[in-house]
Amino acid sequence: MTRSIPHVLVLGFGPVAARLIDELLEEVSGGALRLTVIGTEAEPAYQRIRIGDVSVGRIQPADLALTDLGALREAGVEVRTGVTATAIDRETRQVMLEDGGTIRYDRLVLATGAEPMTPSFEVESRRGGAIDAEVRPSGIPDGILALREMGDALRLAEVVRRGEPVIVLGGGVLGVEAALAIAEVGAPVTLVHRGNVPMNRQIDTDAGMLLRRELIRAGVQVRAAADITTVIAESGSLCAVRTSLGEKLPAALLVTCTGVRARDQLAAASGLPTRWGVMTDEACRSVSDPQIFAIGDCATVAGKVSAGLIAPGWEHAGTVAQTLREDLGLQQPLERDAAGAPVELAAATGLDVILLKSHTLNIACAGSTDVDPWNPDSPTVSTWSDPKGGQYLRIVSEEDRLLGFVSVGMPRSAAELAMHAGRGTMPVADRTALLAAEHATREAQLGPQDVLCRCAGTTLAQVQDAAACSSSVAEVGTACRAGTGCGTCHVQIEKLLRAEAQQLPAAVNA
Amino acid sequence: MPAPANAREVSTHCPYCALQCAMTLQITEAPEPGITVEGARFPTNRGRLCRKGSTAAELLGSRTDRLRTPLIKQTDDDGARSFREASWEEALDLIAERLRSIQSAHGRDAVGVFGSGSLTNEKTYALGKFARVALGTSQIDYNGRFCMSSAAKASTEVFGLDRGLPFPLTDLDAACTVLLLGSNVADTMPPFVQHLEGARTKGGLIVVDPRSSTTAQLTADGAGFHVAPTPGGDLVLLLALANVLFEEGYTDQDYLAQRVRGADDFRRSAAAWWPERAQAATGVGADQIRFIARRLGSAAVEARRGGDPVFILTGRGVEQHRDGTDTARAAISLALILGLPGAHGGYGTLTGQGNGQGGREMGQKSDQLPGLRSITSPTDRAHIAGVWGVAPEAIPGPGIPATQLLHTMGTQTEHGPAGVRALLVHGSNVAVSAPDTSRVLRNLRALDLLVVADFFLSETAAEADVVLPVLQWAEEDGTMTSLEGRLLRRRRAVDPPPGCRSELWIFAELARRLGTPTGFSTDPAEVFEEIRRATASAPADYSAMSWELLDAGHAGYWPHPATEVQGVRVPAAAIPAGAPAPREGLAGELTSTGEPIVGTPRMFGERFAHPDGRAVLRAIRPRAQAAPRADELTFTTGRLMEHYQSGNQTRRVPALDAVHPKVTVQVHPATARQFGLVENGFAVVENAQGALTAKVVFDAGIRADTIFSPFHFAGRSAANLLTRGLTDPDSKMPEFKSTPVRIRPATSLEAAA
Repeated sequence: MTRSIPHVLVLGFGPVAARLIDELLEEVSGGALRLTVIGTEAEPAYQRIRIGDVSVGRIQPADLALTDLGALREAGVEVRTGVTATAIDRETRQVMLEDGGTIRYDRLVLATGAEPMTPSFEVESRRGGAIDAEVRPSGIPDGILALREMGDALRLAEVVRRGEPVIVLGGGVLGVEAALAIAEVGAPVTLVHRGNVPMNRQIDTDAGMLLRRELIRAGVQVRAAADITTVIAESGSLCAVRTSLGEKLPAALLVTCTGVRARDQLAAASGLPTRWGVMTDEACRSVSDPQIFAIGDCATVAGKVSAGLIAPGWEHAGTVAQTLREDLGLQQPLERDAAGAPVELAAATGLDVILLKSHTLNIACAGSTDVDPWNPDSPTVSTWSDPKGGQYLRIVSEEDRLLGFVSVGMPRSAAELAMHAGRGTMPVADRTALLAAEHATREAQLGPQDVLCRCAGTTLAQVQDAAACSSSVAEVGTACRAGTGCGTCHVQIEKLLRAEAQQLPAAVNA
Repeated sequence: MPAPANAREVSTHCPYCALQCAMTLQITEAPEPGITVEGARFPTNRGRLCRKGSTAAELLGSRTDRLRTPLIKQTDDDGARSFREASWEEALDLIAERLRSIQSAHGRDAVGVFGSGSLTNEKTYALGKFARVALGTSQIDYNGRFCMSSAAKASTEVFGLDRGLPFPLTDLDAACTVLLLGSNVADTMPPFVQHLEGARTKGGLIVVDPRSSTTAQLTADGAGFHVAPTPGGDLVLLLALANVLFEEGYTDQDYLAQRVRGADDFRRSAAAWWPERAQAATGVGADQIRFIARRLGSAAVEARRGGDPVFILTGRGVEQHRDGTDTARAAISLALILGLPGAHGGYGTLTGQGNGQGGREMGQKSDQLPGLRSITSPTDRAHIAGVWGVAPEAIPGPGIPATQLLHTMGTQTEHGPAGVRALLVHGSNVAVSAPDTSRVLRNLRALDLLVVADFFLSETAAEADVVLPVLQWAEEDGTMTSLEGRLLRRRRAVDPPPGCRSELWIFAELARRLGTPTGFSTDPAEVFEEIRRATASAPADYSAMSWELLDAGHAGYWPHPATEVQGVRVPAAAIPAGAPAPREGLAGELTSTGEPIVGTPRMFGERFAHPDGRAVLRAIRPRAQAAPRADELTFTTGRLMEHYQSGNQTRRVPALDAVHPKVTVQVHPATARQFGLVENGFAVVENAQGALTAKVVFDAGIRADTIFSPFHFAGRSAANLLTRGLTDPDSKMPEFKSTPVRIRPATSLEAAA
């Protein structure tokens, strides 16, 4: 008797789908499961959350690869990229494709992610400087993108490389990250956001004030409490934007970071209940169709709308992989302790943590910190604020529960609190211990007479003199012997060389 | 100190850790018998000794607590247990008779054997042979499962071979950067610190430890950096470092292309741990992760251009976890992507026990035969069967690993087959050193027969049906293999107390009584000759080693295969000039103290030990962790300078005991305040396994979410009352270093107990 091999169909091939495939790979290569994945983008899964680094040329697209197509196919996974599904027929358990094909499934996993919400603008089209009556058919000029796909990132990278002005619209995490990254590589960028402070949905106003100041310090032009009303195109390409404050800003590219919505239209059209995403139970199973699951940004799991973070999506993938194994009778061996008893690990019950990705500014937050510390009914609030020092920390807790925190410019505290928030544990009650750790591990800034290269005994001042007439680490080495020993000071020498090239003072840490 | 005129000198090595410091014993018989210990010139210790080594001779001689005759347990009319002295004849007859009846009633596997990384190579080899040939049981494992199994597994998988340091320890001296993860060498093997001096003067000692340990403090004043991840965060930290190294272009692409397989798989898995995300799993800031990665990366780039080498070393702190193998694998992977092993530095694990290296090669591991051979490989089985003079199919298959053996023995649980009903323990104190000691103690008491061979009445021996008094280090001849894979001679300096016997003699006597009259030599030199035959052409090949070579002052590093010259197998050292060079051994190289080197001091220069010569990387995905709950802290364990392992030896040395006589718990002052603990007061640390009462020591250098206790103490002071039987799926290493616990002040009754 041959038992038919169950077929799992995954719609979407982003990082969450990639994790699910990884989880099920053993079953597929062992012949216990058939797995097909359909991706709309031409590229296989990549680390979408980090394309901002690609957009400033800091890393290459290959750095973000999450899967090896050859290995997946060798393991028996059927992968189809550049294909879009057009409908789900739940009655016959089939998915229709744009090319007319159909695929039958035993279980369907929706991992279609989210799509950007592009705001509408008035378009002012010009040709040769004069208003152009013949507006392009789409109405939207070339030069507006949402930084959602690899193509967007590569396009932005080109503009940044040329040093042309970029406008980022939206003061959420993505907008702040994009603006900061562009400024960090020295390109001109303006951040336009609606709230009084950036990230006003994630952090309290004082933290936001500091963030705003740090953005400006990093070289970002900031337009708060503003919107973009009009985009101005020259010969069909974006050349400037006009803000609600009436200001006209030159722009080679407008990056819209104004939120995303779950890509759940296919599910809705097939009659699955959706509310800001496909509604599922705790196990990511659709509340109305037990054969269908939804994970990542397209899912509303147990009433929780996706916040666009990757960690919950990867947790969904793990959960669904386990449920599928149970559903299809593919139970993996349980972990057992040394005496043979099954091991049950308590699931973490923490908060979703937001960790801003930046090389210069450290921000982490979770939960809510917008609490009045003087209200007797408020939970416990601890705040450390040193705006001139670039530091702000606020922790909100109630009994043994961490309700939220925000940390700006305090990397040790950020790491500690992110860990506790994620795990659902509490930071030490005496919060000054966090501040002490901040101090204890801060790298000392070198003075001019401090030794920078320990191997050669060269001081910071000597290296600075050498860097003034050198263009490479090797030349600095020839001039003053710094960096010719163990080489661990090369990073600092490179920093001095960069500063010298830009005629900027550089602080060098030990 | 000049030797007294009538003193006799014996050169040997320390009884304790794997550094195996050389020492000279000066023995005087008159007017007063006495032994003094002096550190000797030797590459690993350079004449220095720690306090444990320098007081080691206090355990020799006529001490009242020394076991000197076999003991048999008796129970009086009231059920009180005690020991009575017995003759060897009676004790061995009793053991043999009970073993026979247990095996005939319940099968051969009803008898288990538990060995140790403290036994000489010869005793280890004989123990494995005794179990498989005389007892015919598969159930043998040893306490190295608690020490080296994760790193050994990882090295075997990635490099194809497990030698703790695949280079002489003195290679570290030239390093510009050393990344030291989870090892407190400044307390556990203090003379080792000399070899970190080079990296320290270049500002390149990077220590990863949740505590500001004595070793972490060596990074102060510009000597390096200390990174303090939360216990269990090491794996993600390593992956995040790899992520930065890949993305910022520090990796050695040529090396990866030529010498490594699977680098892309590893790279994709590391890509999931960018520094900001890694913060939340490690408690280490993204800026620190980038800083350390760049420091390590630029040092490796410089090393590849001819600069000073870079080393990555791991210890038990990162290996004794449910994901210890993955963590060691990640550390090795980091070394490989930087192009270090066999080229510009490398990876090593710091073996702990005195013969922790030889102990894992000589066939006492549940899945291995002598020479690091696999017990499931037909060719390996055939070779060993030939040496042992048995049929290959007579050699049992793999047994169950140590924690599983101890947690199932004497019981029938609802979860699996019954454990062993009898256990023979050699050189190990499992009642203190194994995880979840309450369970271990309960199971020891449930056994039909427990036989313990030791030289003091350890906590495990106290539970035995029969106790056998055996020899100590300075009373026996043999060999040990140090943390760098170097074979060393242990020499008999004094006579043992009358009544004590070598394990070799015990195995021969028991084997004879069990019906295997031949094959068990009582002469360690003869056993070593058998080891040479057994390990010939094995990964850990000793076939060209000999006691004569060592006694003539050679430094022998395995593998040291005998080479065929005109059809005759001769030691490589004796090969005349012009003959093919013996593998990678450097003809003419001397150690830093002038001994001619034979064998293979440095490995992987040309190829790794997999058949295609390449190292094998693969994806590493951290699994879900048993994280603490909101009211819990993470309990971690380790060693003190003054004590060794379960303390059965060092707690008997007054000078050591006086420094740290009782178990302590290190707590951050802010954490102490939160939980109402006062300095030098007592705290109860507890969880579902048990409760430990310990004196509170404040330590502002420990993470606020972590508390630490040393594991050298017994009974109600045993740190392992709290640890659990959770094991790594690959190595079966128990999770000693990360246990969720609660802490509270002790009541006055508890404190007084």
